[in-house]
Amino acid sequence: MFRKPYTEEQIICFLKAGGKDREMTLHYLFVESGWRNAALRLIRALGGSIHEAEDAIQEAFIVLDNHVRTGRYQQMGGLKSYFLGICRGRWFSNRRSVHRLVFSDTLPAASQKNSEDGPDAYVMKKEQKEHLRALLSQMDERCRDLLHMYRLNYTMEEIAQAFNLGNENNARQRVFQCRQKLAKLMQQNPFFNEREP
Amino acid sequence: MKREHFYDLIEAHLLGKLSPQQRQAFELEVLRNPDLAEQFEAQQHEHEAMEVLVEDRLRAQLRRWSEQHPLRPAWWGMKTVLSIAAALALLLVVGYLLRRSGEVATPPELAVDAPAVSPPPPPATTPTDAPTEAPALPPPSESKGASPPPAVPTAQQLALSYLKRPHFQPLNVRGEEEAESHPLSPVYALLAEKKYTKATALLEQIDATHPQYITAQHLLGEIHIARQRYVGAIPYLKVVVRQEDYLRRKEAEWQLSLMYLYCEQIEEARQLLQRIRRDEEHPYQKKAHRLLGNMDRLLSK
Repeated sequence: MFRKPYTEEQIICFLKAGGKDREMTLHYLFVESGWRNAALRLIRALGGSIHEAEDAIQEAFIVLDNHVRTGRYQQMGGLKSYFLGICRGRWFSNRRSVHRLVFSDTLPAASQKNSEDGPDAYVMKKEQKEHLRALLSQMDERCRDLLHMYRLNYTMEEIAQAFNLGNENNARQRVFQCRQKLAKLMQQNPFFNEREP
Repeated sequence: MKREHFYDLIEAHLLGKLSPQQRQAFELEVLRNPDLAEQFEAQQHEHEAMEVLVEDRLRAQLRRWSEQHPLRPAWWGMKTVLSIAAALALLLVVGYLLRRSGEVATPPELAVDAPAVSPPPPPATTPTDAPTEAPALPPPSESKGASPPPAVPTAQQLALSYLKRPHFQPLNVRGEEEAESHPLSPVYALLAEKKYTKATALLEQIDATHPQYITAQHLLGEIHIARQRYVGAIPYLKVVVRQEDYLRRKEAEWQLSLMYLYCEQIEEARQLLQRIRRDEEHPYQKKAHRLLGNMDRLLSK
């Protein structure tokens, strides 16, 4: 009711642009585009439940956002097909993790294709994320907000406005300080130190 | 290459700002240059940490949206369509019955073109009850033809229904002399004559250090509103909302919430309106309360 459908180019452009545009685009994709229903139909057809579909869809949106922003999405095939592919992969991989607990030798064959990085890499990544979350929890809320905005390509002017920092230079300086805090915390953490060559 | 140059280049790469060719060249350079590779790894870890923040916040956001808009199985859509169809059918039947009863209440000589299909028998009326029932019926001009149900307004229409277009008045100061010496005097004169372009040019020259800066920003916002360039009004109103001048701020808050609504930035509009509603002394508190109610109804449809 509120918005005209976005074109694929607009979606990619807004997600990459970050900031408010990204947020509005994600809201559009999640609520109004009909992609969730398409993913639900797909997962139901594969034998999944509505709850499994919801989990897979939410994770797929996170992956899609990341792939578009970081340039991993190469714009081959449609974006919606790409999203549905991620949903399918996520659903298989969630299902596999449940099956592993109960029937470890009855994995669906198709699910094997979706473990792009292999199980070790997956576990490693998960563990790394937990360490990163622990590090981030040691930083103050303001720094976390600031780094969040920086990562999402908010301009220094927008950051300065959001945090009442006066001007872009102050914002740049604050981002730098927070980055230094983060780097220091990482240096103190053995998980990241051991990984250094 | 210097370390500072590395830093910016790595940031551009990690923020996805390089073209595919630049990206490829950069990745080759990382393989070739150990200094660059070392710095890249350090910055990459920092970005991985920031990405965790982004992911976690997006996950929380998606969960909220999911609660507000739960997934429904396919038949749910059909159910909604059927409900709407049933409601429309009911409206048509009610409209038809009302029309019929209106015709019954009119004198017999005017009811010659009644439809062939006879409606269910109306309740028995005596000539003495007829006048008492007549005022409850819609007037004859309205009862001719079933009028369509009112269209659901869009966010823009809703915002515009609350928006009061600014009316620029001449400067209100004590004497003519004071009016002439006031820095915004020429601007007000231009605005009173609706010479917006010239007034805008003068106002844009007023920088942030000028004592009339906030007034100028507010006037620029209002000029955009007067010219129906609502999106353009937002940055100016945002400046006014962030400062201390009580009256300007309150007025700008209300105007900004309407601009957000007009631009379909629903969450921003809602947050600002909720802030206004919480403020007991806000001149627009009641309007904000009503508008929030209307927005909820609009969104629920």
